[in-house]
Amino acid sequence: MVGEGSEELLVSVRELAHSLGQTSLRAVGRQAEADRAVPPSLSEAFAQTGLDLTADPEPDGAGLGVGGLYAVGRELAEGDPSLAAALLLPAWLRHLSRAVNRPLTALSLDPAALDGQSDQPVVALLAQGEGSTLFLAPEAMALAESAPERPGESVGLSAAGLVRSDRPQASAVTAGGDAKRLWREGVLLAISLMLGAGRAALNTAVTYALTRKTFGQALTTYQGVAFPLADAATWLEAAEGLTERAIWLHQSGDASAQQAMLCALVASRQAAFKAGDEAVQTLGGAGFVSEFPVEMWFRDAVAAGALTGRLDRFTVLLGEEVAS
Amino acid sequence: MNWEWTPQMRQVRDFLRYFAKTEIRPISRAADVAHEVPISFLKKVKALGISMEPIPASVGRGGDGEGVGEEQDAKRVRQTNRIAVVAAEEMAWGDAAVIITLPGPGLGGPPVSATGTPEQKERLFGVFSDPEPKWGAYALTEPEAGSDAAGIQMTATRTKGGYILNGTKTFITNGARAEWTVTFATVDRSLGRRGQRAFVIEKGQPGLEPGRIFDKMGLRASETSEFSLVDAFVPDENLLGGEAYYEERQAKGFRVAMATFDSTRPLVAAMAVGIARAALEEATDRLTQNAALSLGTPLAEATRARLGQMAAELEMARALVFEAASMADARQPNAKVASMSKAFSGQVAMAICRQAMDLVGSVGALGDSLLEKWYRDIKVFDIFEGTAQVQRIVISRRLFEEAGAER
Repeated sequence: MVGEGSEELLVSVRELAHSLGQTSLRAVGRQAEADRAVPPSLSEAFAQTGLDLTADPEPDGAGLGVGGLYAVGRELAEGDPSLAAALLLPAWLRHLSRAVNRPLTALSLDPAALDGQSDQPVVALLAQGEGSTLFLAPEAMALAESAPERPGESVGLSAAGLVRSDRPQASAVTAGGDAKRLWREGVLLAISLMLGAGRAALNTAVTYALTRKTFGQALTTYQGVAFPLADAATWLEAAEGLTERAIWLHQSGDASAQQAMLCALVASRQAAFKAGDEAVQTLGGAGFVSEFPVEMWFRDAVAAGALTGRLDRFTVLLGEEVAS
Repeated sequence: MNWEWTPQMRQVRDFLRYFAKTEIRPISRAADVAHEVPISFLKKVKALGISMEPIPASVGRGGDGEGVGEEQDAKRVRQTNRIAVVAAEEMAWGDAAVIITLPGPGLGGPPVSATGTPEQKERLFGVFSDPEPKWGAYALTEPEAGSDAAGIQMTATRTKGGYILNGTKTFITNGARAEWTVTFATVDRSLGRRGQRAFVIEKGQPGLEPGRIFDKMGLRASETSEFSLVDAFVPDENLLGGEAYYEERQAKGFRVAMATFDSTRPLVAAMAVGIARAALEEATDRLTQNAALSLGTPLAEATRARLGQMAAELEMARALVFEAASMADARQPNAKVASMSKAFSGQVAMAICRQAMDLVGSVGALGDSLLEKWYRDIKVFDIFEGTAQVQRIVISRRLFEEAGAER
């Protein structure tokens, strides 16, 4: 997935991110959602780990490239997706800003922003600081000086800056190979959040099913519970594999990278939803209340998917890619 | 099957459609954020006489399907369940959490109607003649007994003049504010379902220890709570139906608990239909405004196909709801169709809400759209009043029973 000699480093970074996610992020996730903010102590702890990649002399984080960003995001998101988005967005924006040679403060992944058929606003992820908003679609990109609104109520990812944003002017839109490349890199942020959220929810549901008894038996002994969890695990495994393959093709400069990333996105949205839904269902009433965080992760997964706009846009595009 | 819409049903639909649009929907977001329904609204609906009270279908007002002798009563009962589901859909279109919070006996009503003594009915339902909003509640689920309702652990130990109750109940709608709560406990765990009894726990009951009020994924304006009973003495007059009732019909305790669901599952299903209809209408309106349905593009074709599928599935769900309610009005056993309506409506409504949020694009995830709220609200319709898995158990069991009976 990454350059020669970087594999060991990537494994270490992934393990560190996983550990941080399961301890520090997991511990404060619910409170961060209520506060709609990252606790300052967590920001400091995150910076000390080096996972924010600010001290890295290499532009893409120790030469790990976007694959490294994805790996860190995926592992942190398994701890808490909302905090992962908030903590890692600055690093992601730095990475993308080098490509467009402009400082960035917000990222929009909804292709509707660039389709020219509507004046409806879209959603962006907003980081602190000043700079442009980068609008990414699978076929085109745009930069704009629009000032997104401040965060408000949303279905999920509440600790991150999920905001409304005006669309860029049509004249600012550019298309071509660079735009597609940037979309593939930007959309990995959303994919990492979805897959991390889905995995967190599924793991919690599996643990619950092992220990919870009903009608005198563990939940795992009922096909009505076990099979949906098995399906969800299969979807997640496939989506994770598709994503890593898409990253490898992208970094290899392969012509099929665009189709692969579209597949990864479509699969990740469905897999994350399925995992979140089945997790809440497995826990029943306990899954619907805040006693367990699965309902929050389920909402986070849906919010991360919504960041990328309508699912149909990608399935239509994927169909066109396949047909061509 | 009676598919006819009576004049009363049309009247209820038209009035509540107007009421939901002008009175419920406008407070929906604020109530969700505040995690409560404004008391001024509750007083208003109380004064207007609007409530959500189903007549227990399988049990009837005379108890267990018996005793409705007068033609006038029979006529009234024959459309009550259909009127209730029509009302539930319309009001849930406005806001499901708000209507769950409407004053009245709530889920506690059906078991009191079904098995209560005349004195108990007069005493317990008499509470609601008060001009101030009052609530009843129903406590069956325990921390270790959810779907497995037959395995409840709350104990009831016989003592002079009553019972001593110990245990914890959870996920009780309107539980903290209820004047009384129908509460299920077992006099002997080894007897299983036959050992269960239904008691009425009144507000202020000695030994009643209030527990948490839960934060939830959705239906946030609705109160969901838990309580414990610690050596709580409950007098004989609060054993629902009295001692003689259980002596005559030993297995009745659990059947009382389950009969409640035969009448309430279609109501819950109707509410899911109402939420889904709201989401489908909202998505269609937005897409029409955005010219997203313009002919000629693959995306527009995909959009139309999805809207068509959503609309068809919504009609299927509504048909099942109506059938279950109609069977109840006709006094036909409706447990299978009631479960079908609940299982199908819950899952279809969830799919519709999810797709509606997706169809409008990324802004559907933000709080200035009710789509994200409906998406959060709808999940529990696949869980409470019996999870999707439990509905399938009921449906399949009835299927197998019917097949066996035909051989």
